[in-house]
Amino acid sequence: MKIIAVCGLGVGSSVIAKMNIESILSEEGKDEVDVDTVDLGSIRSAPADIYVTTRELFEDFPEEDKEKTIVLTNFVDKNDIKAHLDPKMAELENK
Amino acid sequence: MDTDPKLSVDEVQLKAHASNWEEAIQVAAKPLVDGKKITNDYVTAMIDSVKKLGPYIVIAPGLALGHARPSEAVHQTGFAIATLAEPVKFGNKDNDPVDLVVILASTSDTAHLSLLQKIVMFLNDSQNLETLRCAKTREDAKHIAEQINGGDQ
Repeated sequence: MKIIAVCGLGVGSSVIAKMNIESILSEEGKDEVDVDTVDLGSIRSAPADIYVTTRELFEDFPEEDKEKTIVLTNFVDKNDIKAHLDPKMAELENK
Repeated sequence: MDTDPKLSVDEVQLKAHASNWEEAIQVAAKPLVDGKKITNDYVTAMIDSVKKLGPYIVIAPGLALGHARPSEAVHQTGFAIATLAEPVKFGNKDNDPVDLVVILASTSDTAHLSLLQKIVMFLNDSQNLETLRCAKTREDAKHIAEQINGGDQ
């Protein structure tokens, strides 16, 4: 499984999201999940199972990727990220 | 070549004053400009990035992460933190108003990662956010910088 955090530049907020997601996955024993970052302009060349982003940027997402996307309002609250991430991952695992 | 970047006490400003979001970024970034780690071009780039991409840099309630791409305007990788005496609006529907600004400046795509990891660990803890928001004195700023630099100790 591949998760990509998307932000405007690919160096700041998406990196913070990546760090927190990796930490959550590690706690869940899911170290095999690959987490990466990308800027919004490069999303089409970065396929993923799940994208993570903010509400502002979600509006500019390619329509076909919106269904795969988790919208976060808080990039530093791990409990909040987990509450969004776990159901999405379960959904994919049960497909 | 960067040495392992650290947050200095001067880069932590408490209860700073800004009357709008642009000023908040300028004020928070000032120690990095004064310390010659970044030039004013980088400050402009951070502001332009919000104008172009929107206020998505408000990544948590009340918390803005001012940053731009690594560029020649960054001489040395560094961070700065400012709490604001009066919160300002960035135009973010979910997370306004902002009373905490973190500035990130990196010479490359990777130079900032070790310090960013430490800052993220600090921000993960809601208790730390509370401490930071209530902090007032230089002594408080020193403790905060030390705690962040020390990582999880």
